[in-house]
Amino acid sequence: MARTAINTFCMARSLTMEYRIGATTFMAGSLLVAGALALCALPTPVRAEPPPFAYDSARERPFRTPAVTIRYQEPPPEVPANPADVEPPALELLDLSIEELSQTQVRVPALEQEVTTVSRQESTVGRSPVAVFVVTQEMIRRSGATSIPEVLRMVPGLQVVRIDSNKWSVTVRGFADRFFNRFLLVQIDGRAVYQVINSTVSWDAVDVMLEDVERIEVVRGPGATVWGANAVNGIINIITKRAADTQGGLISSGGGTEERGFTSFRYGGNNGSDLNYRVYGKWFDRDNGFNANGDAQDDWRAGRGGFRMDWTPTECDTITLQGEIFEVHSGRRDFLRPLTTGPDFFFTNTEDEITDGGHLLSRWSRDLGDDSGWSLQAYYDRFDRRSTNQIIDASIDTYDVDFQNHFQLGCNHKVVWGAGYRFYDLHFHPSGFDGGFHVNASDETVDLNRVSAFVQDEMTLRPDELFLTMGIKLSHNDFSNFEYQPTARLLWAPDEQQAAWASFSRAVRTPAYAEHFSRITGVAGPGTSFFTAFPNQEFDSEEMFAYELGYRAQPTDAFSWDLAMFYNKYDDLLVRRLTPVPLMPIVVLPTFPVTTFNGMDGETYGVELSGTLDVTDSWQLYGQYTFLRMQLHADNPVDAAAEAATEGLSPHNQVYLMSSWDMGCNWELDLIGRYVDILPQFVDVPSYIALDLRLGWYPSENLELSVVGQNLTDPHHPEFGSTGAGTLRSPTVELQRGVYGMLRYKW
Amino acid sequence: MTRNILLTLIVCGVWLATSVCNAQTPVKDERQVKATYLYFFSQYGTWPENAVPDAQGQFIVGLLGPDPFGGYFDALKGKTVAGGKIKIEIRRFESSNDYKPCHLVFISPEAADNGEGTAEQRLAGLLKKRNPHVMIVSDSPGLATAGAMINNFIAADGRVHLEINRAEMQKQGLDMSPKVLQLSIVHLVP
Repeated sequence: MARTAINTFCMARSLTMEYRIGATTFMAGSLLVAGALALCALPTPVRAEPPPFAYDSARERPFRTPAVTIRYQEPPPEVPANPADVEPPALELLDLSIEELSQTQVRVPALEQEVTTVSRQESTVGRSPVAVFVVTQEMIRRSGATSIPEVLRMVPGLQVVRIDSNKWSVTVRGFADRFFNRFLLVQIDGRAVYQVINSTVSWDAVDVMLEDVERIEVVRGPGATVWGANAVNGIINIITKRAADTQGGLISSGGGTEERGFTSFRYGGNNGSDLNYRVYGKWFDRDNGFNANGDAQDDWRAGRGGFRMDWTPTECDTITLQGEIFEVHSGRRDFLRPLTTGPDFFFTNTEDEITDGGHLLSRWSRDLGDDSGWSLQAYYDRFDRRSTNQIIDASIDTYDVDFQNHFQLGCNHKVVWGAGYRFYDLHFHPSGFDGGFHVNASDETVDLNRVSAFVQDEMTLRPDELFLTMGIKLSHNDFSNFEYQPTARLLWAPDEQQAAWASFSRAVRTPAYAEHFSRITGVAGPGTSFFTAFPNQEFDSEEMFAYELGYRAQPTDAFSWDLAMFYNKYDDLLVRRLTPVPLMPIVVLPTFPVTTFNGMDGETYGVELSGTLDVTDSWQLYGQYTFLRMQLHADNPVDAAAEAATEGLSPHNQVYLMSSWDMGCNWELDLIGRYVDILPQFVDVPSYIALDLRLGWYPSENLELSVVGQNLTDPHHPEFGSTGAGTLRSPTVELQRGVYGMLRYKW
Repeated sequence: MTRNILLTLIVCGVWLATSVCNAQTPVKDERQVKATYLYFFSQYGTWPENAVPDAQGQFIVGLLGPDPFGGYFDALKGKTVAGGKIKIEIRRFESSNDYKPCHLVFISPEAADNGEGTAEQRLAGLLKKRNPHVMIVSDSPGLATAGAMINNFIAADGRVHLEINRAEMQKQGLDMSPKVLQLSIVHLVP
């Protein structure tokens, strides 16, 4: 009876909320539409018809040839008055095979970069009404980074924290945390690596062969309309190369002080006509970080192997099959202390987390021409994590099927819609004891379902100039039931060199299993309960309304810049509170029950500025500046500490500068400087400047040798402090200076 | 402090240790990439016997309009086809009025102030004057459906892509090896 009453109350509450949200959405949507219509009503200037393109008539300028405008209009200085008088430059590329030549990169202007994350269709950065950044293969290579989070440090708006050697926090626009990076969705080739037990990304187990990455697209701001729940503050889409683009062999191997050793291997082949494939393997071993109190116990070792096969039985069909298996060992040391202010190392839990798993994904895409097509994707993914002393033992099996279709409607609408179903099968095993440390005693199996559908329409309001994109995603999950996530985006591109955009969206982070179901008890010694994290089945989705503005331009061939501003309003944010629980079992020692609530709202706002300058043909500068402020307000004064504790984990200011110089004689020199402001939550984490340096040399087209120095400015510095839930703490581990050498050979 | 000085010294040392010469890095000058493609077309294309009647054992590559290659076009001269038996000879034509039969001709995308200012005009002129068996290569959007057989463009992935109009090629008794046609950068024009 009581339960029914609660349910009714909840329904009433959520109905009221939905009404309120609906009204706000509608108003904001109307404003955007009204603005767009007002602009439309202006007299349309007579525009020259763009030349027809047979291959892709729907796009305004399908494959624009930026190079034609960029290089060919310059008077070629090398051409002498009489060509016969002067020795022409050598065609060094003649030594390549035609396959190698077809892989050769030439520089693409920033606004012409390809992106698919924004609308799940091919588009360009210049035509995207969102804050989007594309990391290309060349940028990955020249950064000297060896892991995905390290690559992401260059992206504006991101906070990448290496908590210890194998633990990372990667967040967009605030809310950094060791355990819950809950507002960011990460996908690799269409497969979500967002971990459903406690809403985070387990970065220690996320990896790809970096040499075979085509690009990494990072969208800041909600992308929930097309990608689904939990893409609240951003999405990272890692896209690997097609098998046809990774033909031949590649081996990349090296080692050094922090990077103790690594080797990647790939071989790609084909059947001579319509089937291409590659197989790959990767292994690495990374050293411990620095801990003032002794061994940090955080070394990181992993091995993985996989394949990708692309089959094009007809000109318009592509069938992709890819799979991988992996095993990761990540060291961890945590400690429990009897009081939140007590001394560290009261009880310590030191062990290796062993994660293994894999995935198998298949996708069938059909291109129907005229900007229309569909794709059907299905995958299975397994993630099994246990620790050497069985403190952690859980596995997640994910089954996902997804369909999407895009087409032209009339001449002014580009519609994309899709539907998906995901099934999770979670297994938890009883936890063991380690030094009096014990986490969870339950042995259970849980099944979770998620159904979703979305539709989005890009409307051309003025041809080639003004576009309005509107869309909505509807989904259902087992925790918060129905969710809707709408968006409206306006893009104005007065010419090919610049574009301005504005958007409004709502997005939600749906509750995780841990918040709804699991009771986690930290015990130190038989019969003593130090803390218990209680589930809360009333815990609802955290929601956000985002207001964004952006401008990007390429005023000259050599210079481009991008500015994005946002104001995000959050409601029902998660708060963990130490609360007295009426019916406790026999208590021998002080107990700290922790419960999860929707107990906070708040605003965040910020500015992200990035730019690229080609100083000369052989010297390029890239820089970005990120400014962020968070103002959170707890509903209950009891939770006031949570405000500062969340705000204080994200820096106000971050700067990243990179200089890439081709020095001639096949030498490359790259310098990266990073500045990260203080994290006010920690007394022992000051602001820092880190410097990376890479020196690369190509004795031949196929061979690359490089030396990379990382974090050169000091012997060690922390990027994150000691955090935890209640009395569970993790030590502050500092990042050490490291140098490694690498050899890469292609054939 | 010592560390910083050391670092500065390393950086300076690297600067000094390298002298200026041709940069050879993974991101290439697109002029060179496109000129190299012309070479590969000469290797992988097929022409009927006596495609150019007065060729005298040479393979003739023409450039119609202003040179966009910055010297790389001249580097084709003296290279060979058919396993070293036939030498490549290059010819330049200011406009299609000057055109003489070639095996392979590239239509410049650059503007010019003679009668043929644009690539479209050059192509139209060439189609009237050409020898039947000339492979026409262009670098301007839309030309692959207007009579050119191969059109270059740079796609968003940072590579030079090729639109190939095989029907047009075969109509003129020409063809291209499957080795080229199956490359991932090739888009067959229907």
